[in-house]
Amino acid sequence: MGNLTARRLKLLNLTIGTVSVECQLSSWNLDPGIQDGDRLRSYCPDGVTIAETDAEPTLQLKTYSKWVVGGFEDFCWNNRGVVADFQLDHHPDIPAEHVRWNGQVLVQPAPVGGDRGDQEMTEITFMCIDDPVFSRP
Amino acid sequence: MTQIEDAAAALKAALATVEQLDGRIYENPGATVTGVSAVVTPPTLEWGSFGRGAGPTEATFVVHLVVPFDEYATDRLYPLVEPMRDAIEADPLFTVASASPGLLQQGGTQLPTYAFTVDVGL
Repeated sequence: MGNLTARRLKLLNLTIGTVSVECQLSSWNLDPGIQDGDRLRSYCPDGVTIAETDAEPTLQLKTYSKWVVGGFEDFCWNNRGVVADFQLDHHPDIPAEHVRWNGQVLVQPAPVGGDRGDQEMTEITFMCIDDPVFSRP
Repeated sequence: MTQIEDAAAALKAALATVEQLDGRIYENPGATVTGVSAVVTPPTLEWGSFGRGAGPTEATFVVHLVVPFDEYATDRLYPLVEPMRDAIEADPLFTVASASPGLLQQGGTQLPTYAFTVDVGL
């Protein structure tokens, strides 16, 4: 008999370049960007396969803006077009489920602004250079 | 002091600059409120960050501008709404997006009020 395990997203360690983002982070999404390939058929009995495609991985982040020197927004605006390493530790507090992704993103400045009186947020989607590498620390 | 206590203290300090209130700022829901005064109620809080121990990310206070329940209630409320809002907004922590009229149950009686919704950047 198995037990149901249901997790809530609560803790995360995310470092991009030199910046630890997690304390300002409100939402994240690491998309491997897998595309569906065409199904190819030929006339032999086993003649079916699926065409290879190129993945387009992205790292999407939403943070509470904090414009201090060395903060996330400061880093993005100072490093336009720079390739930065990132390390994402998921469930760092659950030993058996602590997993890690390492990769590289192309840093771009994030859009700024919003409605008057709203909480200031920074939303950006980084393109990953290669497929992120999955591991267990 | 927690972030919430800091924010509440900053809010009271901002209200203390409103001359017409003359320092009559109440937090105790059982206090007997006399004259034109401000009543600060505990804030609505949100925790939206992934950091460990990162504290609340958003707080919303409701600040009531209350006046005596008599024929001068509206005449007392109108001239005070904008100075109250300006005093709260003078602190960069706070934004006031709206104020709604109503009645506040306070110290056993009901008092005419404008309720300011004060959003706090923590």
